[in-house]
Amino acid sequence: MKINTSRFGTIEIEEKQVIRMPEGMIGFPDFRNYVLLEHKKESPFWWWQSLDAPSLAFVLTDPLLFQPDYEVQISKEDADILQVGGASEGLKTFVVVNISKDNPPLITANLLGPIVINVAKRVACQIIQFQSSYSHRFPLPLRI
Amino acid sequence: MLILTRKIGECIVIGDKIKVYVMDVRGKQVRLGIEAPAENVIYREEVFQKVIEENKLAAEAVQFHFSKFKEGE
Repeated sequence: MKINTSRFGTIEIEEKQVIRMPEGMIGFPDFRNYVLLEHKKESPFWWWQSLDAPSLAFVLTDPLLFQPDYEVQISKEDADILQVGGASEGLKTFVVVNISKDNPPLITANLLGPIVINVAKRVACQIIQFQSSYSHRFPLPLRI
Repeated sequence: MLILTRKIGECIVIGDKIKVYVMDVRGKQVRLGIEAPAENVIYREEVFQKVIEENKLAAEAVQFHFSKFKEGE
């Protein structure tokens, strides 16, 4: 299928690459279908591109690259949305990257609101870590 | 909005499973004790607002920095 994006133009993806977010990103409840695209080979970044809004995209990274003991708590309700039983195998966690307007820009990751993807079921959820003390602006040792 | 007056140690009940106790009042701060089933997520509203705000900033940052992002890295 072809999808329109502001940044990559029209791109061709396979239908099975579409990941549903039944509740959307927090603050963006109307947009519920995303695709995860590699930024570049060997890059720590991915793109989380909305299929419903061509201009809506987030940069994601893998929190385990810089926070090896990062752990996500998943409530029963979120586990239901993600269609997982008791075990959490097959889940992949990403965090949203923010790039400040400073010069040079400060790159931070939001560890408070990770995105958890059930890769097999193609469904994802942004899960606020209410019980944690994770930062929403964790500085990353990365440059653009 | 329902507004109730309670004294320290008193409680309100929401539905048949949730209880909110007033534990202590000091100046402008109120300590609440909450009993609720595990499936009810309880959180401070500002945490939720923080994530909304951060998502919006991140989406804007993508627009702002995209040209740089495309060349560099």
